Amino acid sequence: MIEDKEKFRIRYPADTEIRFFGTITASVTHELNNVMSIISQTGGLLEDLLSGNRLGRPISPESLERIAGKIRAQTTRGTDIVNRLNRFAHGADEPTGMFDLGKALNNLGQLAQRLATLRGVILKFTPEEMTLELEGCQFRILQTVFLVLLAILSEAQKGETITLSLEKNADCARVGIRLDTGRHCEIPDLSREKIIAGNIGAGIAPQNDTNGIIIVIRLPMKTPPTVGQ
Amino acid sequence: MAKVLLVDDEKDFREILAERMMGRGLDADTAESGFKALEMIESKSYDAIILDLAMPEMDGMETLKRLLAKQPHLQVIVLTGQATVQKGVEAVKLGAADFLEKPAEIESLMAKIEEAQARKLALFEQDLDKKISDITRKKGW
Repeated sequence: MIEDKEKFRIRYPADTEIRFFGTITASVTHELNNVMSIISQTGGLLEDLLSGNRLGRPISPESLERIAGKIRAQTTRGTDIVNRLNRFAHGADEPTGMFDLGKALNNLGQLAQRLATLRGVILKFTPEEMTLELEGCQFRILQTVFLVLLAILSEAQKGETITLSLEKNADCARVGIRLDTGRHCEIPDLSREKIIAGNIGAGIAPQNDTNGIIIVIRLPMKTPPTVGQ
Repeated sequence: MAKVLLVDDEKDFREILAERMMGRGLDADTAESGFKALEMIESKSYDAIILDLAMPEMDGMETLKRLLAKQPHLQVIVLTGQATVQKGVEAVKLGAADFLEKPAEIESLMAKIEEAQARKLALFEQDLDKKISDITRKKGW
């Protein structure tokens, strides 16, 4: 891996909630900038064709159709990115409350997709659609999951897969983050993540074997009001 | 005709930009990764490489280092989408010829390519002069 794991961890420190928000928005706005760049160049291409047309070069309907298709596709991509970021940002509206963890995790996974892609890692979410209502601080719960995801991502190598999963037990929600490697992996240092998880009444249990690492975050269905408030 | 290689993991971006450059008389090739760019410079001499910094697997900085290790006179213009000139400055310190922030205007890019081509020619002439003076010194002319 070109970018070593220590560098990766330092780039995304767990020090503050602002850093969590910053890491997400920096990554997402970078992707949005790529979308804008494509739209800008596509618009430029259209201007080039029109300039040529004024000089007598014909513009084919196929060219216009192709350009319109690219603009439409990138606009859809950009709108999806903005909607995901907007849903994420609104997660910080209320200090605590009922929310759908399944949807929130799916959204977080999509926001983190670019960070995984830049490392050549495949990020999956399973089940793709799941509703699991719980009561707590959405922002802090997502922060915990994200930091654990970054920790495990720092261990991943090109072509490996990380699966983010969610299941409900009798009294808790279990978020699993599994790195499939087919090789023995060391468990990353999760001391900072455990402190942050403790603030929302959550627990972190890592395990490794010859196929990779799995880290389970156990979240209470209702975060005690005295914890982390 | 200036020969340019565009290195960017965004397919639409590199294809559209290449099309616009070809419309302006450039010979523009594209590469989807740093690895591919490293392969392509082996078989063709480029006047300028337009390199995106944020790419999967091998990022732009690493690609830049490896390109310059293979061909120190290569004129690499870095494209940064990271809303800061810091990365661009870092790239120039590593040996990039110049940098532009995304989304870059085609006219700015064309001007940078023209400058890069002139620099490459100047470096070539410098090398040639040095070779000639080495030969004349050795021969005692």
